[in-house]
Amino acid sequence: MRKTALFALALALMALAACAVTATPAPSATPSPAPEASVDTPAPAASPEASAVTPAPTPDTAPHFTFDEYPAVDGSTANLPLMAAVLARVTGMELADAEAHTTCSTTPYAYESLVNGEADLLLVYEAAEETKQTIEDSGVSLDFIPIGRDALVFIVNESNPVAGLTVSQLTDIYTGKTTNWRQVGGEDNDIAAFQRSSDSGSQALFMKLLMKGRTPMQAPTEFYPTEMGALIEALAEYNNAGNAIGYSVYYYANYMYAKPGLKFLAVNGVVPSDETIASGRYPFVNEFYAVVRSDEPADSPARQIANWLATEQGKELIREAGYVPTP
Amino acid sequence: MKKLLPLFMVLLLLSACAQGISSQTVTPSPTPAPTPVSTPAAVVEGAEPDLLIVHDGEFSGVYASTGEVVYPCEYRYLQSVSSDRVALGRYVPNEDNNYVTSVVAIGDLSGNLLTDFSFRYVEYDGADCGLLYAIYDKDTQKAAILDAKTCQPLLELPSTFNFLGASKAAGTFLLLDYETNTASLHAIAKLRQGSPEPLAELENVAYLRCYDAATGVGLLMLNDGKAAFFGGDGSFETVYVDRVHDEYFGGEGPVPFMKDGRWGYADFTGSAVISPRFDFATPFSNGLAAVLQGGAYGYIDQTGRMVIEPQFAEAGGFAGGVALVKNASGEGFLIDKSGNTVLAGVQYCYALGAEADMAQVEGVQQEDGGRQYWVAANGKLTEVSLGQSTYISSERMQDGLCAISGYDEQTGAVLAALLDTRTGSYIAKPGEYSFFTGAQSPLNSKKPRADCFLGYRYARNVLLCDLFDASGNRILVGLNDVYCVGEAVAAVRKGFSWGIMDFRGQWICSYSIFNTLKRD
Repeated sequence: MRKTALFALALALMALAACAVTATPAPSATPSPAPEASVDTPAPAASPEASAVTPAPTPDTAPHFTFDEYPAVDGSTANLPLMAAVLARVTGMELADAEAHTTCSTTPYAYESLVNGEADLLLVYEAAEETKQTIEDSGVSLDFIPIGRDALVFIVNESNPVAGLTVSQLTDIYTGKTTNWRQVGGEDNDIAAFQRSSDSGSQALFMKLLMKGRTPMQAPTEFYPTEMGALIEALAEYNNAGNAIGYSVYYYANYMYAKPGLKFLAVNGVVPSDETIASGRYPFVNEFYAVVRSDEPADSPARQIANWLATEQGKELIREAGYVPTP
Repeated sequence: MKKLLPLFMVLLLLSACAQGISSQTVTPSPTPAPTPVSTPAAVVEGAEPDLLIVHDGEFSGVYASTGEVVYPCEYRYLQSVSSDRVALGRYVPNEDNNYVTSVVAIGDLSGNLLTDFSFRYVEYDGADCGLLYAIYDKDTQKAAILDAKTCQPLLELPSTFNFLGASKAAGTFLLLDYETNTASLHAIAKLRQGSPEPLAELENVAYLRCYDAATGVGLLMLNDGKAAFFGGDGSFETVYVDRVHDEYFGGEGPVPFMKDGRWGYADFTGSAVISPRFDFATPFSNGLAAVLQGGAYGYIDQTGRMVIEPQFAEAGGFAGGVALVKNASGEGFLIDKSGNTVLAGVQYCYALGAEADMAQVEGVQQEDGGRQYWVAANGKLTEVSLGQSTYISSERMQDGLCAISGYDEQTGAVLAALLDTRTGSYIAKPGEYSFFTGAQSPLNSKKPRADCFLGYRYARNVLLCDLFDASGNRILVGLNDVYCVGEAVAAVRKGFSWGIMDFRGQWICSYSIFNTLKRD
């Protein structure tokens, strides 16, 4: 098993119950592709907000279960608040109590838990290629239901005068072709380009959305923090912080691990925001998913919750939790 | 239109001004603390705030019960080392480049770091004599007696020296050099005047058995198997005895010792308070001690009067008002403090808690491997069982309250229950909890806080924690952890927040756990 440091606090409190799984031949674990990004043309933003006309109260379509009936849910670190919001909605628990009952094992281990039956439902980002291969090798077929959108965002220290880069400039930085900030309109400083470990959810997005088959340059070990938060800390506290660039997912970096002294780079002139991610104007948008095993019965709690999250009321919950639901 | 964020998102956004790591400094960290999310709840006017050890998921700090930051969460190690000093540690690389915890500074209770050097270890003098003992880091290989006020060395020593104890009343402290096996007695006042020479020395010392802060006398075990009372105020004459009971570590009553083949009891001046007249003597507990006389064991009180006549082949110490004794056939049974038999078929009896006011009692093993268990308190027995557990252990949690824990071999579950020994009923039923632990006291509490404790239980794969008061009432429930408990507040983590919560469940201050993960 890969030695990836886990979300330490959650892991310290976890004791996952083992349970057998019936493996079925897996045709594919590949999620549906992300929508094409609009690069240059400012697209009319499709407002995610509700109509100005107040609709009549609609019946609650959410499935309701007791905590004992609630499925074993796992997922990505960035989805922890969503996991708590879903638990609160489905069980009627107070949100603070739902948070106390929520933990995750991070993206690669969450997929592992679903495949081996320790989890029944994931709220999760797209898996890295090597995790997808592991899923395929397991023979367990998974169903992916896109429920929300997030984005790969590039972060620099706010002392860096560069406010934005193009996709090709970012590509050149991460393939090692561009090594000095002066080459992209900044000061005469070397670029310290941080990356994440290869099995992380952030790295999977980075490889898919920016690298697109290219091989990123090898960086010093210190430039590969093992945790999402550690990368952001590293960017803020790197000795030459003004030189550093790294990446994360928008929700995590904007809401969960907001750090003073850092800023998001615009890409192709578009600053990442709820609106530009919802509209797809920001170039590096990707879905996150509710994932269940394909053999999960149609009436099982895990399947019911996954399906409900793709409904209008499910999307509203996702929006209320601060995420951008899938259009 | 800006979308509405639920409460927790607002909390996360507000906590964006998270603290960072400040470099090591002798001044208080300039790093601003995160902005408290919630409005401070009412605190008791005029009361000195508790200083609570808080934990942000990775690091420890000290916050006042009002929410004010005393030390930000930047430390891996945080320990009270005197009534007004705290040792703060971080991970530092050792010679093998592995990271180990090291004390990096000593601070006061106002957030001021008083040292700019690192220690491997810092120890409290135990009696508030104004001294600290410290071992410096690997580069210096030195130890020192520090002035607790200035934290500057009063006496530098090789790290082979160990600090044995200090006495305010006697005005002295004891050191032991493990290299030369020499104990030395030092006057605190003379040391402060710059005279480090010892008042007295004792050679051939193996280790300290116990130290009496009231007299400044240490009971030192010697390499030849004998023992010596050594120390005091400088005028005390060292008293040698041939042996000390192996299980005496400074507990209740005088010291059971042997002189010229006979056993008696001595106080810490080395004077025999019960003259050596027994064939064997054991430590006191619950006011009585088993002694061997005429080939049988009986029990004496602290005046030396025989209160249970010698009649037993074996005799254990009293705990929970009962003692295990055995007859000549090896059959074990419990007696009360009047010598009456209260239970037969007993194999073990273990004291619980330092005061031995409770005991775990185990019956003889049955053919199927199982056995009966009881908890004894005030001479009263309560039988306990936990599912299919074949082994049960008990721990005293509070006056009259005992945690029972076991492992159910059929289900694989770790089970715990909370027993009120006064009523014989369960406050928490078997299996309701997985384990119980004590609670950490505030740094400025005058005495260890022993009246709150914690029960941990699993909700699926998440470990939750409930805070209990002295009576076994649940004060706070459904927390993820409790780090320190004050008079009306506790340092806790709940969900995605950590901070200080009052006993009504309201946050005094709270911060997002997401901003504080993994800062090494």
